Amino acid sequence: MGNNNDNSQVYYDEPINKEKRNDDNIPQAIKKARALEDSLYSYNQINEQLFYVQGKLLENYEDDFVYNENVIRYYPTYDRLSNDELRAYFSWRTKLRKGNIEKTSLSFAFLYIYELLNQIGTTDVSDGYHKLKNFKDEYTKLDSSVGMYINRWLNDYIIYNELDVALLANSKEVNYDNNLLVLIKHDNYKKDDIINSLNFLSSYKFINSPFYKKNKDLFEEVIISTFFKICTYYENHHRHDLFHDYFGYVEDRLVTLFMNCIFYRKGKFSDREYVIDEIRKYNYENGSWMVTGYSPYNIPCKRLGKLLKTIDAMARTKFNFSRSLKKEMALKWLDKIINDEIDVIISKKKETKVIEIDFSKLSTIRSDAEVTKNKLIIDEEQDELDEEINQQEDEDENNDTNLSDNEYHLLKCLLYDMDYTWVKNKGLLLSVLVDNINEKLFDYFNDTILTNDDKLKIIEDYIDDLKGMIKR
Amino acid sequence: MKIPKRIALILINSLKGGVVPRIGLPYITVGRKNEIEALLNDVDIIGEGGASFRFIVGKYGSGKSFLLQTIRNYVMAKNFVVVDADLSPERRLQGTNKQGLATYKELIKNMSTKTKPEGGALTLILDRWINNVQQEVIEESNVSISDPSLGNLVEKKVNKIIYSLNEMVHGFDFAKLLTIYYRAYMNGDDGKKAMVVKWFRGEYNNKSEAKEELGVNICITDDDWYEYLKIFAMFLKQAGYAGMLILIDELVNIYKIPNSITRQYNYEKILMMYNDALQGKAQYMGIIMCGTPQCMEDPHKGVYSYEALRSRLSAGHFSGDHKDYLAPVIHLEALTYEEMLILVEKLVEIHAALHEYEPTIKQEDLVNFIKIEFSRIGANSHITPREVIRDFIEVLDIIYQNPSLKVLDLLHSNEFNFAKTELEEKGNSEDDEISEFEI
Repeated sequence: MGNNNDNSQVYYDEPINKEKRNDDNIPQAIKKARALEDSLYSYNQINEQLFYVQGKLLENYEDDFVYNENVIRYYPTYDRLSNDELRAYFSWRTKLRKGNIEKTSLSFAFLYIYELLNQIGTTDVSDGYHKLKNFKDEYTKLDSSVGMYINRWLNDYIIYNELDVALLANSKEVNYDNNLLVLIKHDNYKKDDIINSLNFLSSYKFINSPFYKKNKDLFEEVIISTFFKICTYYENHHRHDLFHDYFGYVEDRLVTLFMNCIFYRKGKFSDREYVIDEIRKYNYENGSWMVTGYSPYNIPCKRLGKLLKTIDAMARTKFNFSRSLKKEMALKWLDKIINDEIDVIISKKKETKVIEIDFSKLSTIRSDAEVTKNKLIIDEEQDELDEEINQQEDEDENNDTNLSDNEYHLLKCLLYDMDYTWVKNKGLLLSVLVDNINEKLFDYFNDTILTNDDKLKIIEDYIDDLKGMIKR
Repeated sequence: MKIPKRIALILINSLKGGVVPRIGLPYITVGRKNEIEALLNDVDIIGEGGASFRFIVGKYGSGKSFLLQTIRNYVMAKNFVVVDADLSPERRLQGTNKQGLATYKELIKNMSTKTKPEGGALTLILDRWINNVQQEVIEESNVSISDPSLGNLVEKKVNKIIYSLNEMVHGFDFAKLLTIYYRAYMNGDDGKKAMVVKWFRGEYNNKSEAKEELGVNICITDDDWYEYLKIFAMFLKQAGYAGMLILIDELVNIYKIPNSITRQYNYEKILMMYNDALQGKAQYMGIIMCGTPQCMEDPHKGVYSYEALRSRLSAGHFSGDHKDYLAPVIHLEALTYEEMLILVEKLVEIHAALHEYEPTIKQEDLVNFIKIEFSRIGANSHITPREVIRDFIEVLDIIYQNPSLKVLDLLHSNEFNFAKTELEEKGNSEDDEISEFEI
């Protein structure tokens, strides 16, 4: 290299020597598969065809080799594994095929998935699907990291092999399409379906809203009627409909099936169309796959979330809900539509709700209330009782109340700030005297007049009245 | 309607403030005739030395608190003592953390009589008891209050009276404390008296504390607090009262106990109280417990989840349209439109009596008011008599100050704001703001 003219320092192309691998003591079947690697195939590049041919050769191979090392290979194929690693893989696969699924190196799990996708170890495409599905269900319990990939490849497998479209029923795209179709063709669907679809597609999950929880029927009515009123507005005033604005439009996109996977596309693959639902289909044409449908990248739809949150916020204000919410969208035409729709609903509710009063029941209710009142009021009994007590006690010449002399005297002392230590001297209980006074005058004042919490005193409100009753 | 002005004032002010009035409830009690009659019958039974046990079950806003307060006022006026407590996570009927004792403490703290309706009547009751005994001795022995032999005579009488308590469980301990209280009174030892009151309130943490201060090796515990309530009822009768009524509200707090074993222990306590009342093991005592239908009837966590209680309390095969008011469970339904109409009619009379004017509101206005109130969105599920009354009193106040204003015009005007329901005022603390956002 460089400008050196000395012949001994000129460098020429030379082959790269492969790392020597000792294949002497390996099982015959593996040796045979290894032999394929020494052909003209490119070294160190992923060779799907090599993988497929080797896989088919070793399709039924079983082994029982103990190997405890963790194997890490990106895009694991047979030729990239060492002999021991390969034998370890087949040993694990042998147990798995006998119903004993164990957690293993991630590379082995992916290698097995690649085999199934390429119909290695399957009787037909249907068998391949069931084995893949079963492996996904069982192995993701042990290691969830394969889940994302196998889910996507399983869908690709269904499409590629034109299996029953019903198998895609739970896929993300089909769920999305189904919910979108409910809104597009809402006349054919029930209220619950529309609500579920709106909530599914929206980034704002209004079914968790406290206003929704407390007024479910009302809120559903508001959301549905307002949403479709807005759809109508779009049709009459905008270039595109609401679905175009919020969810994009139905478009053709190039798509790669089995992306990031070792997949050998063997034989000639004819042009075909695979229809998933009313708004999604796959086409294979001139060697490329295309998908026609709404873009899946709008799930959940943030714009729809903002709209529904705005409807929630305005409904809360209209119905005086205690917890307010901030609007996400502030457009005059939108505010008007929402307000008008809610007003229509309110007036409909008023018309339908009828409060009937049965006037024939009123006199019975009145008389029963009177009976109950008389049973609960026992003032007359108390008055009689007080009179009886008064007759038994000595009367103070100035005492024209129903209080005893001692009670009258105590009250006088309290009213005119006179000393009342005589109570104790007489061996009387102050608390009892106080209580008696309160009890006897309760019916007159309908309240207690003396309080003894910190200090014994007369409640201020009643001092004037008492001074009218008790003179100095 | 003849109603003392003072009562009218307290009624209108309390109702406008959204609280149950302390007095005057008979003047606004509408409906509930059979329920009240059943409870008054219980009061008679208690007064004659028997016992009763009732559950009052009703949804939020059905009037449980109002009914309890009505009965409370009634029995206090009849010389009963009332103890009441609301259960809570800290106050149950039984618990490993003295939650049962906490309920007892609350009950005794809230001990009320007619002249002490706000609670704290224990000391007064004890003093009254001593006073009564003293008066009896003075009359029987014909001695004066200053006679030196009075003390001995009174002590003999005290011993005789409290001797009858010895037959009850923990009766001896209770009687001992009464004796200490009496002697403290005779000696003018207010400190000792306060300690005895502290003991009765269940405030001694252990026997050692009680021994140190009072010289008694006993204290009220989480296991036996109910036994002491039964003794209290007997004692109160001897102290000159008619009996004792125990009111326990918010039964839902037992329903909410997460541990099923703990819930079972609490329901066992209820069963014990119920059996005592109905089998004559309790005297001069009534118990009323309040709760919602869910906390009562839920088959997994409610009172009815405890089979012994369910078989005793649940309605029989023949009840249906006809309610059995002799059954232990009283179900409160919401007031009907007609009953609400009569209620607001009474408010008109009370308001007019208070402000001394001749009412001009006609029945047609009242009917319109009821129709408008119950036509509000959410009225079916959330409106209670409380909100209706508050709104109506506001109407009365405005009409009284603006006699030319028509009721219908006022109700439809934008200036009139309907009262928020209690739920709307409190908000729902269970809802999480985060639930509104998708994570």
